[in-house]
Amino acid sequence: MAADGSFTQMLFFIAAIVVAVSVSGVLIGVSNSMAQELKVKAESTSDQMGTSIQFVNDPRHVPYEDGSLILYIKNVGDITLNCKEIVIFIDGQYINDAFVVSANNNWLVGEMIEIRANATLATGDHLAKASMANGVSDSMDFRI
Amino acid sequence: MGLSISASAAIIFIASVIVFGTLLGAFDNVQTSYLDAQRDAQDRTNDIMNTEISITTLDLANGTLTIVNKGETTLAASEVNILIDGKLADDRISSREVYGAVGSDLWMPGETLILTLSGNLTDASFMVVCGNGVTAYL
Repeated sequence: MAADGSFTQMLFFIAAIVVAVSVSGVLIGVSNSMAQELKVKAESTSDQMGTSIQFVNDPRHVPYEDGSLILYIKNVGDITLNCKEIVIFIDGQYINDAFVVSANNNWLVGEMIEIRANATLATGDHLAKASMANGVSDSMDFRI
Repeated sequence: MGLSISASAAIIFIASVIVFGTLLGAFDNVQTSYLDAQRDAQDRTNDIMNTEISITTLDLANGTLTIVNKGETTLAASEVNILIDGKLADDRISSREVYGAVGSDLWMPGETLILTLSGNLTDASFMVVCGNGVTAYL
């Protein structure tokens, strides 16, 4: 009888320890995931706040020749960007045929890049918008 | 039974301490990153607000364009870009010199930057862009 009681107590003890360890494992796992997510989110927010681009075309003379619009954009933020990530919209339309005239993907702070956007534009007022992968963008009104 | 509860409570307590430490470190990291980024962005905005450049003269005979730093920010002469008739014309700059400080890249408040340009400048329109994106037109 006493042996049965000890055995039962031992079972309860082991069960309690197993449950406690499982709960602890889950808690630690979840907290590690949260910490990792917070770190990723912080890096993303930090990158976004450090990113700033600006059109530096002369709005009086935006070059447009043979269906190719030349846009000059400067990295005026705090971090080096990847210039291949930039996307161009003209009058709200995504320009698929736009390429950066640069051999290097690294777009250093203070550096200006040239983008050639091939689009058919009528004479008149237009709006160009450049957007980075992290959502930071700049726009410029111009006339051709 | 009592020992089971005590042991379980101890395990849960230790796990809670680990969780607390992990989350505290993560929140501290987030806050530090956010504050650093915010401070950098604020510094950048202040720099831009305190920057002003103006094209003062165009000497067609010598092909020189003089630009004065009218703001309160020290700029870099090497980061200045020029657009002539809307096209990037950095390759037409044969020399860039801060007046009175030959060889210096620092273009300080009140100082004049002299750009010597090649090619025909008659009837051209100019736009000068400094490193932080502030512009001047002629």
